[in-house]
Amino acid sequence: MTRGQCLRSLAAGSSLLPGLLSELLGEDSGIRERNPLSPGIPDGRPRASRVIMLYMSGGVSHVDTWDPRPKLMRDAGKTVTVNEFQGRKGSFSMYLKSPQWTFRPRGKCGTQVSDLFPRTAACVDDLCVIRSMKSNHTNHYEATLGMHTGSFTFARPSMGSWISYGLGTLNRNLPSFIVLAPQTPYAGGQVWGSDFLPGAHQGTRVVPGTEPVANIQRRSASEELQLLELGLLARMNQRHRAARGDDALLEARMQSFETAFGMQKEMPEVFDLSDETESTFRSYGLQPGSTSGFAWQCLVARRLAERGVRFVELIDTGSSGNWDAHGDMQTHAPLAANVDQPTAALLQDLKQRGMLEDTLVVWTTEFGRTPFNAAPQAAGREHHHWVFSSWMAGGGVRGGMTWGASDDYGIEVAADEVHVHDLHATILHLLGLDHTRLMWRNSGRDFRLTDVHGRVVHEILS
Amino acid sequence: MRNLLFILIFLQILQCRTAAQDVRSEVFFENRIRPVLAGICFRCHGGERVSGGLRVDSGDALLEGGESGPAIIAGDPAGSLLLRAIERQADVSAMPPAVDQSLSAQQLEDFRSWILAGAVWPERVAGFESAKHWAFQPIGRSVVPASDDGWCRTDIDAFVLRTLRNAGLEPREQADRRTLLRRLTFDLTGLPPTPDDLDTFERDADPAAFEKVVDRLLASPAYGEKWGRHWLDVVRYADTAGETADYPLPEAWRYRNYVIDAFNQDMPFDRFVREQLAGDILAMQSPGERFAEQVTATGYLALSRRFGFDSENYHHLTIHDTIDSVGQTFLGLSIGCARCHDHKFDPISTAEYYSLYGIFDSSRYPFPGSEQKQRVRSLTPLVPPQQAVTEWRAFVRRTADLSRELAALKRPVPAAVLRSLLDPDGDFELQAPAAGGSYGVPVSPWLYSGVVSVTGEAQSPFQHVYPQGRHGLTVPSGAEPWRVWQGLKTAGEGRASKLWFSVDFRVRDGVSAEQGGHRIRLESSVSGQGVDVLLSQGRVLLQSGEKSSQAGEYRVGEWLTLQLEFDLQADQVVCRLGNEQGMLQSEGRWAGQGCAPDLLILCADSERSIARPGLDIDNVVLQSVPLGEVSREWSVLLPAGESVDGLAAQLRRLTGLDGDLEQQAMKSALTAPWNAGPGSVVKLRPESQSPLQNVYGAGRQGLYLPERSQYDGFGLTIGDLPADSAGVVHLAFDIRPYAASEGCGSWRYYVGHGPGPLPAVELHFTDRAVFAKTATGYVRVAELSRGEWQQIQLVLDTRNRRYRCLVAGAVLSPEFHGECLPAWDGVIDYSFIDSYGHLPGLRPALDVDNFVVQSAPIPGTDHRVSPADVLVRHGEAARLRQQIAELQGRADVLLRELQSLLATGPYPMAYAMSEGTAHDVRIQQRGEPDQPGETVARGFVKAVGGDATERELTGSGRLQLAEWLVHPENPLTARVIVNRVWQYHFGFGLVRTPNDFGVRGSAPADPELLDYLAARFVREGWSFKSLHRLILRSAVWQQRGNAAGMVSDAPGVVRRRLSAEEIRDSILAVSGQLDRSPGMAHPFPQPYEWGFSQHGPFSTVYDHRRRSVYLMTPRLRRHPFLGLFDGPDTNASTADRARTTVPTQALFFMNDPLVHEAAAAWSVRLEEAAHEDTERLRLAWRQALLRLPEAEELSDAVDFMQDYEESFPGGDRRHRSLEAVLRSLLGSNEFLHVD
Repeated sequence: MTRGQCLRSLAAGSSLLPGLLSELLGEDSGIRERNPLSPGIPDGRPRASRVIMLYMSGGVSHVDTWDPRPKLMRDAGKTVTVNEFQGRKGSFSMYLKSPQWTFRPRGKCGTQVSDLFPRTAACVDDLCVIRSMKSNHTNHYEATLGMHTGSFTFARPSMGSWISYGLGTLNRNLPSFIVLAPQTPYAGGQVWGSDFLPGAHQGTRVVPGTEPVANIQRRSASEELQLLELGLLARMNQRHRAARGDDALLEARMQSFETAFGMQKEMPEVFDLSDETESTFRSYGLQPGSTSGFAWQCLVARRLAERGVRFVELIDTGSSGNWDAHGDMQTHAPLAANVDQPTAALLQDLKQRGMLEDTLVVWTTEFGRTPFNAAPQAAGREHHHWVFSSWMAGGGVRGGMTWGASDDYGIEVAADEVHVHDLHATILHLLGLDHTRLMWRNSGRDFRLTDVHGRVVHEILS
Repeated sequence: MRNLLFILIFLQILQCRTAAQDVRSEVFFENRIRPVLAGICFRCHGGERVSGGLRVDSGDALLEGGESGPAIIAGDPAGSLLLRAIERQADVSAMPPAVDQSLSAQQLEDFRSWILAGAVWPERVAGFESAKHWAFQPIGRSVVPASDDGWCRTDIDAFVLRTLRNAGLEPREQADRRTLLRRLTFDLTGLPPTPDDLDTFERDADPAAFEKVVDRLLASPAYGEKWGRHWLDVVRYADTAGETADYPLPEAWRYRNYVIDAFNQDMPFDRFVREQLAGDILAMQSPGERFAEQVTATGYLALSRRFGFDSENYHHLTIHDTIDSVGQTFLGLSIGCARCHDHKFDPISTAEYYSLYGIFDSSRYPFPGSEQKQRVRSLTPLVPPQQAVTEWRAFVRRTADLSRELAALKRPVPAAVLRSLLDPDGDFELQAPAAGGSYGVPVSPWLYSGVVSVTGEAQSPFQHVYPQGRHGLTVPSGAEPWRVWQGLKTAGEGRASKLWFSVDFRVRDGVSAEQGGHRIRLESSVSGQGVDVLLSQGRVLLQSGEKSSQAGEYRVGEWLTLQLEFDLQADQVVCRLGNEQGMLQSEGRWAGQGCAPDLLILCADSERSIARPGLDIDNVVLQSVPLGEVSREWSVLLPAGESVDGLAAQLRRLTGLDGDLEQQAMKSALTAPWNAGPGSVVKLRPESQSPLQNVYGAGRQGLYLPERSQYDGFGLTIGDLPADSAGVVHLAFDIRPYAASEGCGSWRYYVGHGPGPLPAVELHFTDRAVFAKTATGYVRVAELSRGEWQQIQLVLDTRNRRYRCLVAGAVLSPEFHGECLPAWDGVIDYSFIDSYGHLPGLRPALDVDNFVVQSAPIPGTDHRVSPADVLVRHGEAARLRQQIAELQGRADVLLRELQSLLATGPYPMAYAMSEGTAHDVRIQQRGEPDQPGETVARGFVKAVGGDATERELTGSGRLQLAEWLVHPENPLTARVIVNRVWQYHFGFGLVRTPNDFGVRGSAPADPELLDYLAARFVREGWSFKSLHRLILRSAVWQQRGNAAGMVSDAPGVVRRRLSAEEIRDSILAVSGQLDRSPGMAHPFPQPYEWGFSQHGPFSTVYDHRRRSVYLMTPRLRRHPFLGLFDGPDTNASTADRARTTVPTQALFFMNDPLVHEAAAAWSVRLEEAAHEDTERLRLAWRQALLRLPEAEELSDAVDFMQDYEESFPGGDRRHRSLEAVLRSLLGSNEFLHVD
């Protein structure tokens, strides 16, 4: 291994070893010349320094939540002809189905939001609601993979991994990319995988419970004993290295035990909510001591953001029991109730702490749901990737606005399409990263989060 | 005016003709034009970036242009935007944008001339810089540099020394024996050496001591486990399929073990390559001892990743994965890049990509199951065909028999039997939409054109070839020509002298004289000759060559079977046509010229658009064993004697409903056929036995329902209602209500259709009264005595929809009459008591017993069934019960046999390839299968000597592809593999991009050394072990190692951290826990139980204590341990393991149970082996690090143990302190790195 390779390998782990990395980088100027995006240095003017992504699993109906379609309500029961249904091509006559929740103007801006999200809707002056999202695939697996990695077929690095690679972390005791996911989502661990990017950029999945991260719980009888043991190990390693001269890899590995010890201390602190006030618990709607539900995820997300984690993703449910309301739209109600209050609380909490300015909050799902169905009395809606809604808040995004529009019935994008790739490009842009330059060479080719696509939606930036 | 302009241009072209000769040449383009396009324009108009929608990497792209229109107009420089842009004319965006990069005057002139001369873009595909690229040059004859330096031990050293000297460097000294042994053992086996290994080596004064160790290690099975793993990395081995539900591949392990065995046997690499690409073809060509291994080897291709919800719909991506893998693995080329457009850098065109695609599309991949089609099929038998065909038929027969017997015994048959067994290629079961959403069109290996579909109506009634299926092929009546064809695999020995073909057909509708017909053609793809059977106007004609003879007639709507018996030696064909009642025979000539028929074409009789009748086709087979008698029966002998149903009905008649209660376990909840309601507290108990004996005689238990306000209830389904001839049925049950403690809620007694909605009679009762439900409300009809046993008797006249009822007890109640409820539909199949009484509140506790439903009147309550009768009846009931139990026991046995048959299959199978229907494919424009372009012939990559026209392809062409890869003139294959071996020994390859030898890859550090190794490797019979010996013997390998981070390109081993597998194996090995037996199959659930989906994907990881190469490696989620320590990517080729250092790895050593358990197990062994701590520590150091601890280290450890014990909060302190030292050893850099 050459020094260059060695440094790259360290850079790979750098999100967790910033001190060591900068020291090594200082000695070697070649690496930056070769790679203008060496970790830690955004190449644009960053508006956000971290991201909290709220991911709703299963496909949230846009016409029942963020995208009021009065004509759809009026014409419910009438038929429309579509040329594709559930992935099958052909001409299909479909019955329009009325949204089941009332839309009302909210906030000062008056953006219409349905009664499914009353509390989040109250924060609408901070949100930029995008009503012209578009994805490539009608299937959960592919659409979920696409929303996370920009690739709808092959596993590729997750957005959080790209951002970790681009920016590193601000806290050496915590991973740079953390996913709070009580259940496994569609497409499994690929959703937060680093794929060909170095493993350090892989999302660390946190599962509520006694051991949120693998091996984070001390197994030694006491901290004192563990320190004694780590001391013995450190002396062994020092003797070993002394006989071998400088070797950055040996050094890095010695260092990693110190960091791990720090992590072992700090991670449980993140999850120990005992220093939160009663009013905080109340605002999130969290029972003290409980680790279940989105409220816990939101509060922990705020704590992680405070501690410098670059990318925190919250996945509300997994690959079952989610927003996939084929059978009955009413199943949206409990899922919305699970996320509504904590989402609003998170936004307010960040704002109150002055963190919303440089924290980008992204709320999305893999696709919307059909405004129509095959039978007039069908109680549910099917998958719909032609248009759906997402929103962003904070971190350089203009609040109190909507962007883009679907057509009268919410079937297709009518104006200002924001493809998944465009959403990714915009998120990277807000972090000061150029999506056309954040690249990694793999099997003879340069790869990007946005592949050959992506347009930064400048119109929604503040 | 326009004409004049045209003439002017024409004249201009004529004037330039002389110059244009030159300008039109390929050389001009390659030297003057392409470098500019590639070097300057490409940055923004090629690759992923296409500014302004313009690409500059093909002539067509320039002619088509971008958003501003065509970039060039051939012959018109002035009108060409491109030229105006590079000339920086005012009205267009200047290119390149930066002024200081403007093209030179000469370059502008070149472009002007080139466009004027027609902008010739050479047909031959050549990469921008590839023509002279080193890797495409033949492997040179390297001259070993002369060297008299005593340092050199091998030719390798001479090359290395020259490099060192040129760089002004000197070699380093030889590493010591301990370092060498550790390095060597890890390199060759992935395991730590033992102290004994070191003692032997150090004591051996023989100059060949080192070579002896090498030989010992190369002979160890651990060698294959280590080097097999390297190969598995490159070929992205995984144990799951990777589609949305990540279906398990239970047979993948056979390929894994094949690879391990191949390395252990030192299989020549060329053979290894041939077998992995075409082992199934080789096996068929000469079935021999290695039949199974050769077939298994193609697991390499079979393992290609699957995609999507219905992975057959994404088969083009699976083939892409194959091509990508073949390119990177064997050639070090990213061929996959040419899927959507010609390769940007390397000389690989999209056409060549699809010429390879055709090869794999002509091959058949096994199907692992997917969310849409939840079963495995098309696995490849590991027995030769002759054996397979008989074993398969026996298997199908047995499973069909078992299924039918089970069905007769009223046992559910595993769904897999119904769906997955009808798997031979000839039948249409796989093609059907019911087999999973192929939209009713035939899928691989069938090819088709025109309107054809797979339907349920086209199922043939004949069962002598295949058991009853569900689908066949339908051609609707119509006028358009159609065609369905398939390369047929012979079920049986490939070189048999006789073959039998069979197909069933039915002409669906009538014909008139002027209408067309259909054709069944068998052809030899080698000779192109064949035999035709024409179905037209009621006649069946056999046509061979010029001769035509009538083979028989068909009647509209009648199924016939057509058999052709081929005598390949005599070139004769015998045709038989008919059904089970008789077959007409005719004879013809087989024009195959000694070749076997291997292509079936079903089609219209001509290409004319003319009305043709509809046609159904089913049950296609070509086999080397004779066909059986034509039959519509699948001869299954059903078990003689009584059925479970019959016996159960007898038992029910004998014992009545109550008999079942008596048979149930005492003091327990109710079991089937009785049902208790959800959350029921109903219980059987002796105290609830009714004293009344007018129906059943003395019993031993009854039902108890405690006082209840929540829902409760119990009841059962009544089978055949035992009504008398007048439709009158008698029902009764005994009841004892307890006094209610408060309130007066009521229970409901229901008789009617279904569990609640359609009552015939409903009686409601409290602890003191019975109420009848009427059309208008509830009427109090009888009194009940609390604490007394009473019998409610009901006589129901089902025809007249009336009933009468009385409560018989100490006091006989007056009989009351009622009408059946108006909503009742006349059906009675349910009876129960539940808490949906008409009065809310707490319902009284009840004892209930002696339910009866019969056609005979119920005797008075003073009647007593004689004890003798009771005894006889009990005896008879016991006998029936035993019979039923025996039958059910038999069903259990049958089910177990069926499950075991389904689990093992007819013979061992592999997840491997077989031949499909040979054909060429059309280019998929931009990689989209629904945008077909031109058809391209199957072939290879021309820049690497793959000129397909010079090689005759047979079948899919996979065998020729393999031969091309290992052809002595192929410049890449040998270079790529020796580079990998070098890389695995030294830490990096001579080419630092082991999967990319293309233009964008890095150049070899020493091209002559690389070629020397490649040439020698081939010369030495492609032997890995020989190459290892050469490298390991070299002075350069035996030097002291480099620090991992040293700034030096000097050849030599660099210090490396152990790989994930080495870490786990070493921990298990030194702690004495490693199970050295080879891993076999993983304990996956049986395929017939599968139902994985994207909502619930397969996600189990199986653990064991064997070597890590045998760990289950999933695709959708990474194996938790392997993922943590940079294990291989299971989705793409891993040429070089990443080596990250992250704190989560440190956490593993601090807290993972594996480490703690290993330290505990190890300490037990040490304590047994030595009595003193210092002795134990010495032993531990020797086992882990192959050396004794220094005095300082020893005293440090001893002190540590003392401190640890003092700080330990109690318990087994001494033991724990040793474990802590051992954990530190396991986590130490010295243990985890190789110098």
